[in-house]
Amino acid sequence: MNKPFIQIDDEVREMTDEEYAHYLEATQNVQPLGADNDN
Amino acid sequence: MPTPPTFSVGQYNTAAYMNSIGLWLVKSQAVATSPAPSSVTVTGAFSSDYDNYLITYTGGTQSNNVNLDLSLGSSTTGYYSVLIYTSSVSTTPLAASIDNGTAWNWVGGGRAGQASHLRCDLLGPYLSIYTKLRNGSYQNDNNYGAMNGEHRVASSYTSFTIYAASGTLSGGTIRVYGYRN
Repeated sequence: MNKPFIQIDDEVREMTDEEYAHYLEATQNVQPLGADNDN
Repeated sequence: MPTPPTFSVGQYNTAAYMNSIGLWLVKSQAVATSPAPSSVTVTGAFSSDYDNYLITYTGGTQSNNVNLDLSLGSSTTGYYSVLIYTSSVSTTPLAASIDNGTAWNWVGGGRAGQASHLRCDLLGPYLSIYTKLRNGSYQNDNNYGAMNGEHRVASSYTSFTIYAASGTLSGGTIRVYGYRN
């Protein structure tokens, strides 16, 4: 499975396993439901 | 002498005059378009030159209806976030919060395929104190809100990372401004 890309200053590359784990941790929190429940 | 930012042609700007300017551009980082990243780390953003910073991201797009998140250095703990928001078709205020999270959530966002943005003030990220995040600017599709928070780790940071909660960011510019001490 391809991992997402990370950009560090001007360098763009696929995330390492450690960076991908960090990314998943940072974005794991659920999105709050909208007032109109459309998302 | 005129009040900044009105300058006269050929005007001699004294040190005292220049020192009265309150906001300085510290770093400008273009976000890639191909391949489009899911996170962008900006190094060399914070230093002893400034205690407090304004961070903006504009001019790019995001692939999904999501918020943007932000973290300091490599720290993945101690983030506290409170969001007050509602939808453009509602008058009922809603709230969300995260206690000791892995990043500050809800600092920016946008609509899928359209303009993405992030905006916040960071107070003291380099000072080895609990960094305060103020005036985060949440959006997720047609939901908008104001976010505030704190990072309860008393360490000094020079870099930060912006995350799309899912999908990617494409293009645009992240700018870091320092508030003059």
